[in-house]
Amino acid sequence: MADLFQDYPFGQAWDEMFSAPGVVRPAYESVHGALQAMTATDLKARADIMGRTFLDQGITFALGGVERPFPLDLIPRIVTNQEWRVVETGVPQRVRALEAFLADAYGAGRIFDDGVVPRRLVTTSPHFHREVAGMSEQDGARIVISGVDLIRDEKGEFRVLEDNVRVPSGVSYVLENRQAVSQVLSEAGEDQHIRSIAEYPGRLLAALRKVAPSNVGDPTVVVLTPGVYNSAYFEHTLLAREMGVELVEGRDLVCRGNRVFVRTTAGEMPVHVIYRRLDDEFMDPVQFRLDSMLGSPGLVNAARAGNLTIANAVGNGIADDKLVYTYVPDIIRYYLREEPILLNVDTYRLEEPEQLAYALEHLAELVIKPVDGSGGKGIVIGSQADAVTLSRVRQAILENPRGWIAQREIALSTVPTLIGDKMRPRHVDLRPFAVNDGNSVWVLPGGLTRVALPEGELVVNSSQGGGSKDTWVLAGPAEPTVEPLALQADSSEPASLPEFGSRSDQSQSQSQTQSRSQLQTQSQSGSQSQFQSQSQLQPNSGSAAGGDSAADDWHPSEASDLGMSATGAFFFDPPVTPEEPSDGLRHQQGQQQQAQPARTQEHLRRRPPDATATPGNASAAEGLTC
Amino acid sequence: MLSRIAESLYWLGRHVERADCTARILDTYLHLLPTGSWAADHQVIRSLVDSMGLAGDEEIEGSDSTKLIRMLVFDTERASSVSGALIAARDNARGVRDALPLEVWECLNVTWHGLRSRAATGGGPHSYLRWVSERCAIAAGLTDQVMSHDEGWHFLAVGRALERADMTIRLIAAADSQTGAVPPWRAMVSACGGWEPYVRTHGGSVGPRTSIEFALLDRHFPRSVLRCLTAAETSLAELEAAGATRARDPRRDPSSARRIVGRTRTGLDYRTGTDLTRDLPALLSTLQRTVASGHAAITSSFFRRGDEITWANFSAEGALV
Repeated sequence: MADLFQDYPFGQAWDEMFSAPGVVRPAYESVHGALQAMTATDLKARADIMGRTFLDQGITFALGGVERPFPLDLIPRIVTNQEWRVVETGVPQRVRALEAFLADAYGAGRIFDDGVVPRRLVTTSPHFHREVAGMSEQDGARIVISGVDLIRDEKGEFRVLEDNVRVPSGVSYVLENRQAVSQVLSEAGEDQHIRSIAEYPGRLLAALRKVAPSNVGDPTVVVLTPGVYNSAYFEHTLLAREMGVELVEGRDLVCRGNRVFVRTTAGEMPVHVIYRRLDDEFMDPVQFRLDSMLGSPGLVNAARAGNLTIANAVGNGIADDKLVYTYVPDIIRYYLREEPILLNVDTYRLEEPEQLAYALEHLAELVIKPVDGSGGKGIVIGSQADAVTLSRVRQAILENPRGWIAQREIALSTVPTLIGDKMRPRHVDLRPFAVNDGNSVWVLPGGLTRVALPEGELVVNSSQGGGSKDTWVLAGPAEPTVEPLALQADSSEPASLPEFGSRSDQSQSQSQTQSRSQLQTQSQSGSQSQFQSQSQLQPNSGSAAGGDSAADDWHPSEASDLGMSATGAFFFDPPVTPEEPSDGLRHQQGQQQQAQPARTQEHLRRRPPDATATPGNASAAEGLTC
Repeated sequence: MLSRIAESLYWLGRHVERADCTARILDTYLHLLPTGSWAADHQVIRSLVDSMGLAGDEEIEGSDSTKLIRMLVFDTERASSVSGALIAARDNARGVRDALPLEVWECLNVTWHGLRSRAATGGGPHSYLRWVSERCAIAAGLTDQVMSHDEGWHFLAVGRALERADMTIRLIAAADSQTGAVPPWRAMVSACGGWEPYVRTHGGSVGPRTSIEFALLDRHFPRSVLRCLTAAETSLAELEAAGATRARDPRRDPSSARRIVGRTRTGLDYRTGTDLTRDLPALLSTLQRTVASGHAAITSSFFRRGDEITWANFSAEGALV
């Protein structure tokens, strides 16, 4: 029975399941135990069922015009609570620093004047768009969705391989993988507390609504897709469906007078936030490629006029340029005055003569990457390349040093993967997804683990024949729920905390903690709709505090059709309308009960019973009834 | 609801119904004919081609039975074939995945995956057509039972009803113009899928009057033209009420699809069996016109888009990358 792991080879890389031959790391014990009880045939049969389901449901990505199921390996990749803490603090730190960098680079340019990053670096980037220079409406929320690619080196340390702050994809596979693995390998996770990922769509929608133009009370969010031929089309439909918003194509949009509308059967309806899933160059033929039929002319001007939020913002490509990547530690120190939590991979800038000389000399030991490449294209791994390839790369580097970087070759960590009828170590990376609502950055406790299926292969991109694994982030043993979120809040949302902190009322802070832990438990019980409603509270409080000026010109019932009802929000309060200027809903419970008892009671009544039953809210309820 | 999505749902309804009807028509004709008599019986082939609205297609009219079956059943390139209609249905569904329940999408996608493997097994057209009918029934059932009966569903329902009416009308017209070895009226009633209810209502004797009355006017049979037009009218009434930006009374608005369909439906509703046979060709062409102009009215009032953008300097700059 144990022959699944027979002759499991050990190399230089960090193996995530075994600390030594035959010694299983504690986090993997239950998975390893479950696998011990199975034969290769069992496992194969389960894998086949899973593959069939993916194909039937059209969970595919298109490669060369052919739809293929995304290969999923059954064996999950597990990250302990302690290891995850590094990710959960390191990724937000990086996102905040890059946010500041983008705002600065398209604005005053302090960082260039101070000589930390050469200006030329940004202006020569192919993703630098002068068209959006000086647009500051979206500062702090240009990177709403990010996917920072992490790897674990030979010592098991997380390191950043690259930042993706333009259109990171793959989150749909995170959601689908979890479902598939829990359906066919349910016994493996039985005695472990795996953190839920089901709250992602709700969090994303809340963030998108929160970054809407400030003059809109009840913003309409849409997902913009290039269409059915895009390789990630499945993901676009999943996100739209799970968020309950419309999935639009460029031809559905029309811009007029710096406002954006979508064509519906009942006429044109305004749109305020576009989660776009196409590249900058195709967004707006007025500003960029004239022949693009995928976007809509006028989008950028609408954003500049403050009537539209494009997420992620146009021009973000300068922040995830692979050459800018080498400066990110300095960027973090410069803007945040903090030491980077996540380390970079040692990288040589080939523009600098000494580094170029060194790299050319050691080409066979380095990994050479094009700076604006994605999807694993054009990467040359020196140790695996033949002489012809190396000389071609040398030539290419000499012609355009700005176009390439060289990195130390790292043996990515390995996780056992079913190959044939044996378990074999295969290299993996990790893409955690982070959502930034302008105040705080939340990291989805999970992520896309990509695995390179050929033996020894280090490039894991799906377009290069990579597969994926479900990623389990374990909750901590003693204090499973409250702590991680509190930690995240402390480290990443100083901007939003004063709002609560200024009111040092005891019951207030208590109910605050309560609602956090409650939020956590709800999501862990897998009750997605409840969570979404919960998260809905945040944008409401935000928009109510921030924008009570202009009335939304869209018919309210239409708006709720698109935005709210689909997330199950009708159990809760309707969006706070401009006629009711007030603080957030949370404050109403604790503080405004005297002033407006009737309305507060109304809010409490409409909450689900478990919300009112928690101690923090109970005190507010008592104050009302007596 | 987005215009694009509404249009795709409408066509989704039409294509699934077309696949289902085509499969039934072909299966009926295959079933009724003694084996081997295909090549001899040009009348039947004519009748078949006519009822599928393919008269005038030279490639089809000139082909023998084997080739005909290949073209009408398996040809994935041809939109009028069974396979082609299912592919078109799936393509439409794929474009509106976020507006369709997972079950409906999965059903169409599984069907799409099955097309090639089913055709390759060589089980012959009959088993293939039966399988198609089953898949279409599952799709239709899921649409009705799982999908919310909202605006999108009504678009789908209108598409389905108009396609079904169109098919039945053409079957009657084809039967009316034929005399051949196979009794045309029996074939017509079977191809509508109504043989059993017909026998229960009118007994086993098949004549033109009763069968035409059945296919046009039967109030219980779900594929009679009257029922189809009623279904289309009901859904159109819902749709026009939902998107009521126009304040005009739809019953007086000449651009209203509901009015076009409703008028014909009323005219049909109060006819009797003797009225029907007297000027059948004129009646059938009225019905066909109704379906066509109903479709045009729906397209213009719900799916219309702005003009395609053209750039004045596009050609001046020559070919852009």
